[in-house]
This record gives sequence, structure tokens and C-alpha cells, in this order.
Amino acid sequence: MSTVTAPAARVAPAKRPARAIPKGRGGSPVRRAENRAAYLFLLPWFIGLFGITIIPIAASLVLSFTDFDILSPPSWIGLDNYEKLLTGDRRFMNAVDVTIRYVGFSVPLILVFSLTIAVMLNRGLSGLAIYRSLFYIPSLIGASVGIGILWREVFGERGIFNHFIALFGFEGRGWITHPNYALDVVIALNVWTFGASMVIFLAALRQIPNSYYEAASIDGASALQRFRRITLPLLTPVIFFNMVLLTIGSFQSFTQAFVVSRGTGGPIDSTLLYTLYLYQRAFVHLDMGYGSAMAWLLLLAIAAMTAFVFWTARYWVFYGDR
Amino acid sequence: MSARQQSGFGRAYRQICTTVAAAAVAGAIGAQAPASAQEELEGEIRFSWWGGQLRNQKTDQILQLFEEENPSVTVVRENSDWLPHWDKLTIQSAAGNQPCAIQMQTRWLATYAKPDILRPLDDLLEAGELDVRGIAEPVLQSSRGDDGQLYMIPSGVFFFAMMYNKTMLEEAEFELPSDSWTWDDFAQLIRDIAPKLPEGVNPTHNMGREQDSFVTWVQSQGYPVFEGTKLGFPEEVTVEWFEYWEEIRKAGLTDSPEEAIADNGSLIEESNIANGRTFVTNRPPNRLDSHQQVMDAVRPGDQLSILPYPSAEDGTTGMDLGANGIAIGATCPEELVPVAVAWINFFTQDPRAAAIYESDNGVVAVDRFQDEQANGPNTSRGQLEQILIFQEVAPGAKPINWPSGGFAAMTQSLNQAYDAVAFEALTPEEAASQFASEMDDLLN
Repeated sequence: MSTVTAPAARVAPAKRPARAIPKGRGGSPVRRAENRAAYLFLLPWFIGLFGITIIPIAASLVLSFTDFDILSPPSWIGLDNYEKLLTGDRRFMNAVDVTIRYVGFSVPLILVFSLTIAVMLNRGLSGLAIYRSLFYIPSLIGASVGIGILWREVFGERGIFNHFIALFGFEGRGWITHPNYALDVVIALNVWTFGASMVIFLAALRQIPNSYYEAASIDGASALQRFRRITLPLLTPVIFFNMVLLTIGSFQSFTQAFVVSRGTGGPIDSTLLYTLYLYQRAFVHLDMGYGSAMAWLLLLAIAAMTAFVFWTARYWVFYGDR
Repeated sequence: MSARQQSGFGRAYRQICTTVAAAAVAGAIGAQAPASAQEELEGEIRFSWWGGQLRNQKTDQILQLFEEENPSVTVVRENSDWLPHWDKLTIQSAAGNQPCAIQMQTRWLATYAKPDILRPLDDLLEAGELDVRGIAEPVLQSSRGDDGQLYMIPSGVFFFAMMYNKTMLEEAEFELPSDSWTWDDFAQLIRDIAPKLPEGVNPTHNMGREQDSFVTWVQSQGYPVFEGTKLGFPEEVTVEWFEYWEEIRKAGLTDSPEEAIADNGSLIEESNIANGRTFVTNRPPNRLDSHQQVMDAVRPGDQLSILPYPSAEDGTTGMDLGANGIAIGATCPEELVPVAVAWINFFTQDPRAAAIYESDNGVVAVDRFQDEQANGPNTSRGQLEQILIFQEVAPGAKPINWPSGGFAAMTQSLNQAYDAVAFEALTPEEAASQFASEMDDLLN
């Protein structure tokens, strides 16, 4: 980066003298003491970062090239785990398929649902804080084991959902134990946790100046036109933000499918999300090397997906200041 | 017994084929009191076990007695549910932090039976430190690892059986099946009794996906379940099993596939058998009392009972038999090993401990307690039935040599394969092939 020297005539009178750059590498003794104190305070975070994030991530990369059952020392097998995953593992391909369907339905549904509710709540509703909290609560508890168990009971063959639809003459079934419907139930549980996205949309909606809407109204724009021409374009950065977060989070979903299927990913692997299969291989069958390879493939897939979404952003995300 | 049977049942089968007779021998040779009984014990050990609330209470009660007798000893309680117990033990073992005393089971023993995870117990047995009086030698021998070393002292012997509604059977005016009933007899009974059962009652739970039923079928066909880390039976046996259950299911005599999956993992309070919605199912016999308690509330007057699995047409039985016991963690400090040994001796040999535990986790392994419980005035009907059926089936039982990870692999692969058949996504042949290849993948 180059430094541009401004013409003398345009230089504003200095309000205070420019700060002198210390000559020594560490600055003054006081500055050095401050730095030491800062690093001391940061030390617990650094220990955590390296101890439970960086080093385990690096270790998992090494382990992905080994045959490791956690109870015996690992043995080096090169790319065998990756080769088997990509060419000879039926359940892996099934888990990829289930996860893509899960992400593909969950993310758009959450975006549409949370945006719709946010727009409704943004219409000067009285008791907004209460409604906002009510809608937000599921996103806090939705990924918990307790809610997973509740969901399993609600959509079980003798669950309250079947009693409810029976009032309208519909015949119930075991929604979580039938391969055609089990994934839908897990997706519904994920969509139910739309509150976090909704709160972000709500905050973004409040940032849009009323004058835009007033000007559009004077010009005769209908409510739908105002939404399409003003709200939606100005919300695209937030839609983009929510989409990236939801996509990454949905790829990593685990608890809901684990609890609803009692850890099996069944019936017939219909709820076998990628992370659930990874867990089964690593912690049920003690195939840690294989599990590590799966984790790295997931990391690469999420990175590729995120990069793709970022690349598309230039075509549909509108930043007002550009 | 056929040659193929003999080749497959392995070490445990050879050693357990005469359980009752060997129990007498073990009782005779094990009359020596343990040396550690005289020592002053001190220190703190951790003991991990699995079980629900009732078993936790019983175990804690026994631990309190043990601590009262050894005031310088503290036992840290680490209890979990069944699956978390193994998850926790795996992580603890990987970190070298396993408890001194660990509840263990023969089905999972192969995974952990390594000297750097569990402490081999042969030296303690030879020195007379560990007290194994009254434990049948075949049961004790089934607690050895692949390396031949002893890793666990058995405390209870378990088996699987069928649980049925005795009242429904009597009201339908049917006789209790004879001891030598066959799988065909079972199917015929289900067909005959179906019209006479109360409305809405499933004649049978669909056991096609049930691992304990399947291994019994395999062994009753004359094959071992495993030969080392390979399946010991051909795919046709699996195909026949799937076809057997499909015929019953398609005749409308089982619960629906969805209901069968839900019932498989359900709590006792929610289970179809305890709620009078199924006539017969597969359940561990030690749960008879718990199921009966629920039934007493839901359908007062109805009585549940247990009976052994059917055998093949030629009379070959296939009952599996396993043992629960206590192992010592390899990382247990040497100075605490005597404390762990004393706890094992107390848990398995003290009459007060046996009276409290009441064969809660398998029939008590020590023969004199078994007899006491069978004849005791306070023994519950469920415990009594369990002990009597155990004594009936034990001589002909065929304990499976589960390879490392074999139990989890079998449960998962069978569930998937049969569910695919029941939901008509695969034919029995395709599902059997998938089952075999996935077992091979997971075990090798």
C-alpha cells in the first residue's frame, strides 16, 4: 500500500501532535509491560485455541490417513479411508444424499419463514417484545436433547400430532418410524428454530429508513411493490448472512436426527445425516481414522459451499453504499 | 451335534456346555477364603456401572455396606445408562483414566480385553486374592479375552427369551408350548391364537429386526454366529429368517413396521407387551417384574410370563448366554488393586449383596445364591421364573464369541436390513446380501 502526501494547502491544522513511533522494537518499557499484560490475559484463550481447536484439528488430519480404533495405536494406511469413502461406502453416499436434502429444504424454508414473520412483526404490532421472545425461544432450545425427545413423542404413532389430525378425519401413522416421513419431521424441527434468523431480519428491517417507503407511497407504489423494490434489495446482505450461517449450521446438524432416530439414523437410514454417520463410525464402531476422514471431507464441502455462496453474492446482494 | 456346530461355537461353547455340572466342580475347588479378606484396606477407587434407577439404588446400598465394613475406603460412584457406559469407558480408556472397578459384559469384552485397558486377573486368582467360589467354571472361562487371560469376574448370567401374556393365552384356551417347541410351532401358535385375542392386540411383535432373536435362529440352524471376525453362517440363513418373518407380517399377525421400530427402543412403560397391545415379544427375562408392574396398572389381573426361544425341527436349540461382571482398569494404581479386589469379592460373594441385588442384572453367578433365591420366600415371581428358565436352558445354551465391535455391528446391520425388507425397499435376498457385506465391512 502506498502513502500519498497531501498538498500543503489542503492540510487541516493539526489538532494534536502526531504520535511518535517508538524507536525500540517493543516500544517503551511501559508499552512492553502493557503488551505483556495483554498477552497474559489472552493466554487462556490461546491455550483453548491451540489445545482444543488447532491441535485436535491438525491431529484429525493426520488420523484421517490411519486405521485408528482409539484403544490401540494408529497405523498408517495412506488414502485408504478417503478411497473407501468415495468409492465403496453405500451408507456414506446415502448420508450425503440425506444431508443435501436436509440442507436444501431446511435453509430456504427457514429463510422464507423467518423473513415472513419478521415483516409481520415489523408492522408496529403492540407487544412486539413478547412475540419476538416467543418466536425466538425455539431457536434456543430446538437443538436440545429434551426437545428432540419431545418431538419424537409428538410425532410418534401414539403422539399428540396423530390425535390432532384425527379430529379432521385423517389417519395417523408413525411419522418418525416411517422412511418416507422421518426426514420431514427432522426438517420441520429444524425449521421450527427459525427465531434467530427472524431476530436478525427484524433488526435489519428497522434499519431501513421510513422515508424510502414514504417516497414510494407518494409515487403510488403498492405494498407488494414496496416490499419487492425497497425491502428485499436492502435486506439482501442480511439474507446472505443468514443463508451462510444456516447452510454451515445445517450441514453440521446432529442432535435432532440423533435423538429422533435414537442414534440409528433410521428407519432405513432415512435420517442418517452426515454428522450422525460420522459419529456412528467414530464412536460406535471406534473407527476414528475413518471418522476423521469424513470430518475433513465435510470441512471441504462446507468450505466449497460457502465459497460458492460468496461467489454468487456479487449477482444478487445489494449493498446500498456501493 | 453336527460338525459345523462344533467348529463354530468356539472356546466359550466348549467350556460352557455343561454349566450345571461344572458349577458343582467350581464349588468344590473354590473353598479357600480370599487372602485379601484379612488386610486393612484404605484408599479411594472409582466404580462404573450401567443401569436404571432401581439398579442404581441397589448398587449404592451394597456400596454403603462395603464402605461400612471398610471405613478407610471410599468408592466414587459412576453410573450411566447402558450405551453411555460404553461410550464413557472408551473415552476413559483412550485417555488412560478408566475406573479401578468397571462393570463389564462378555458381549463387549473383546473390545476392551487388552492388558493396557483392563488388568489381567489371573495372578490375583492364582494368589487366592479373588474369590470365585460357586461361579461355574464355564462362566468364568467365558470371561477371558482372545489372549486367554481372565479380564472379568462374572456376577450375573443373562440370556434372552420370549415374554408373553399368559392370561391371554389361557383365555384363548391354548396350552403353554412344550419345552421343545419349534419355530414352526411358534408360527402356528400365532396363527391359531390371533382370532381369539382381544381386539387391537398384535399376536406377535415382529422380531425380524431383533438381534437376540436372530442369533438364536442362526444357532438353532446349526451354525455359529461368528468364526473369528467373520460371520459363521451363509446368507441363506438370513434369507430364511427374513422370509419367515415376512410371511407372518404379511398375514397381518405382527405389529406394523413403524410400530415394530418404535417398540424396539421403547421404555418399559410404553412397550406394547406391558400395555397389553402385543401377545408375545422378545425381552430380557430380568425385566419381567418391571413389565408386570406396568401391566398391573394398565390391565389389572393380566399376567406376563417368559418362555425359551423355539428350536429347530431337529431339536437344535440356539440360546445365547452371556455374563455381566466386574473388571479392573489397567491404570488402577497397584496400591488400590486390593481395594478393587475386595469390592469385587464383596459384590459377588457377600450374601447381603446378593440379597440386595436379587439377580437384577442376570441370574446371580454364584450357585449357592442362585439356589437361595430360587427357594427364598421373598423372591419375586419374575426373579423365580428367570432362575428356573436359566437352569432349564443353561445346559444346552451356546454362548456366542462376540468379536470386538460385533454386537453393535450386528444390531445396526440387522435393523437396517430387515427394515428395508419390511418397508419393501429390498427383497430378502438383497437385504441378506447387504447385511453380510456391512458386517464384513464393520468387523474387518
